[in-house]
Amino acid sequence: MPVSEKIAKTAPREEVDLSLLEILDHVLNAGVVVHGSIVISLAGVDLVYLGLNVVLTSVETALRHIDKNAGEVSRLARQK
Amino acid sequence: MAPPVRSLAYCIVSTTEIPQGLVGVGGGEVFSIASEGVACLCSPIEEGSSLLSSRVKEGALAAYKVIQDVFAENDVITFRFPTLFVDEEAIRAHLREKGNDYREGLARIAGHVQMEVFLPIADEKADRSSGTSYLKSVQKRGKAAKSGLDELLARCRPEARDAKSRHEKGGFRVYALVPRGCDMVFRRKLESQGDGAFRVSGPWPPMAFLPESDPDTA
Repeated sequence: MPVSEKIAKTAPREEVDLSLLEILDHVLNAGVVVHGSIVISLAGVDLVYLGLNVVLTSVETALRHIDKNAGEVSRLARQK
Repeated sequence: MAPPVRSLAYCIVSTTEIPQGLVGVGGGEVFSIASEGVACLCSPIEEGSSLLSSRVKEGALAAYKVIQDVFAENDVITFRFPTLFVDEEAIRAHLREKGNDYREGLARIAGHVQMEVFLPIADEKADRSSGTSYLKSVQKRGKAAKSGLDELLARCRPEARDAKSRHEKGGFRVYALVPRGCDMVFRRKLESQGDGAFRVSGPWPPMAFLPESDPDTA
């Protein structure tokens, strides 16, 4: 069973939110950022790209998605 | 034209500990690229996948699942999500460059996990008569809180082999390096000796104890 589901089934709502935020904080903010990579922050989320060609194409795509659905990420950032 | 497929990197493990049969973000099979005595675990993902942008929460939780499955049995150095390599050759080149650092990092954290203690510092009791007095008041309360936490951690030895702390918005976060299997003892000791004013989380991969990471020691 995924950890997030396990948390949801065993903990009170407030703790679930807190645990999910802790998990997201670790996955999105902790960990190696490869030297030479380019980090672009979109709507409060750092996207790490390796290789300039990837950056050029991915940012455009990511921006399209972010524009359409910025609400979810912004909401997470505000909760934090 | 279909968007290019990239390699989403999860973590570095020792080459003797490569797990099999994991499913990555978006359903791609997790594979490993090994070089210099370490292996990078990745899975294929389309560059334009919404799991990397608008559905980043879902993507991050799926990545966490992969990392947890590996971390349950192995020492890992994690990549920040989402880290994308252009192709397999880019991963090999990266391992050739950084393999030695990763080996040293894995040796440093071998057999340990990271537990975290967050101590909120409520600022409603702070002196708000002026900006300076407010900052001094918050700083004083922070020092007192950290001193209390240090004392508490000292009572948790030998479980906490090393500890670092960081002042962050709303409180202090302490990182403790704890041997695998001792995380529950550490948690119980803390919870039984403290007044419940803090939050304990973990076990996490011990990223705060890698040579390049530097939570400030405020």
